[in-house]
Amino acid sequence: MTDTSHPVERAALDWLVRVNDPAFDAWDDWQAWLDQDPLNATVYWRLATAEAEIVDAMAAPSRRSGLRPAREARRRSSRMWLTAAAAVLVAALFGIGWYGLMRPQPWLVETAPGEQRALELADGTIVHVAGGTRLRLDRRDPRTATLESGRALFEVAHDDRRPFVVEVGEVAVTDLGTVFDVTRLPDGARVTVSEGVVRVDLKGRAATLNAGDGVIARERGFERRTVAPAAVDAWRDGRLAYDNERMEVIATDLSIALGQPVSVAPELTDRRISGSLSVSGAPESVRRRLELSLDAKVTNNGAGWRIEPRAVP
Amino acid sequence: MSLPSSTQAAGLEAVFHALRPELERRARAMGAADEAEDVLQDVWIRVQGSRGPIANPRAYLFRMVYTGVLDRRRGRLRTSAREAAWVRDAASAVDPATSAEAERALIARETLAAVEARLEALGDPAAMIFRRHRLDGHTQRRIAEDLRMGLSTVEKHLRRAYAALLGLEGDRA
Repeated sequence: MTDTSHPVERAALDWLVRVNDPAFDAWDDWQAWLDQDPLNATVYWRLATAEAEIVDAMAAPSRRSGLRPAREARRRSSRMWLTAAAAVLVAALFGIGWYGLMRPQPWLVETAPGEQRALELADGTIVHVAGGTRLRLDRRDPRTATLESGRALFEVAHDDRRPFVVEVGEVAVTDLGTVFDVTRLPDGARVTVSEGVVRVDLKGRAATLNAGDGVIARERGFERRTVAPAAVDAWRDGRLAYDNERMEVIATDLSIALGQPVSVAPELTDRRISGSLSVSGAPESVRRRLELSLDAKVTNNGAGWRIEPRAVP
Repeated sequence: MSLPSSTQAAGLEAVFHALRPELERRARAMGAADEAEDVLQDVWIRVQGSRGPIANPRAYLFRMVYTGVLDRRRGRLRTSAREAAWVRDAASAVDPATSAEAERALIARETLAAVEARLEALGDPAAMIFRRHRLDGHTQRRIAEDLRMGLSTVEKHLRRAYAALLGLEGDRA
């Protein structure tokens, strides 16, 4: 990948490298940078806490030695690093056990707004389900899933003889060995791939996606996207990452993440946004960060969100 | 060093008292909010236990405040992760105590293995510089002198190591 990280992340990383030097003494400059933009502080502390956890884990003597079964470790590590977002790593270190905790009992998995769940299917495939999502599973056939609404990330246990298929309305997403994210849009589906290869079919039209590719599949056509593979599952820790994405699509993601409808003023639907949006925290701070990130006026009346052009001063 | 450590520690305590309002202000600015008092209390305890000469007490105290704020943030993260895990366990009704704990321990170990692998994949000197700096606590200047590198080169290697460990894959700077 080329450089896709957010400028704020790059700046935060620069600061973190400097601050961690025992000889660092530019505390005033650092604080001034943090205060410049709430996003700066958010990103900085996210990286700083994750880095500190990593360093502590590495320094713990009981963990420094000891060989692990190589194959198992490798299998897991590739799984781990698709979740490369550092905050997710912190969650892994400190106890959100995603795997194996939830045996699939229901046929229909339905999450409340804001809720997230992880399921392990009988074939070893792991599905991370976003809030406000309906996902239909067939216990007799663990190689199919139907996304009726919302969003889910699939870590597919690959099987050449039995491809894993996700149906999203008219769109069929077929795994060819892989980790991918599927979101149901009002008029189609978006698929992004962080590992492996996926085929997307819609009424005779097909696209093959590799890691870092994305597509918005609608009846009127396919729109290609490029994504940072590491950002594909960032929504699981309350971040939505974009590279030049349309506001209309972002609004769909936001409504899933925030658990409330999000509407966009017509003149903004086609505006393009790059960067990462943080949607965790108190509604007012989410609102303020969104305004900064989207360069728009964002309001929340308690029942829903509205994105409008910024008033001209 | 000729000065007994108690004198030095007493010196640091004096600086702490002199700077207390500023330290508290800084803790708040770093986001400690109503925990700023607690952070300062932690710093005070560590000041009393601190030994050895300190070249720049002011910067040293700022770092202690910073570390205190960072630790509290980490504590909050862990608490919420634990609570989330508990809720999931309760909801899953699958033998939560045993399987979940074992699973988590496994995940933690393997996450660490993955972290180490990431660092190894990066290779030296970045991996070695990162270990010396972050695990052994050597300053960037000292590492630069030892390796006869410019300070900015050391910083660049560290930056690569951080980006790899934090999964900021796109980072090329």
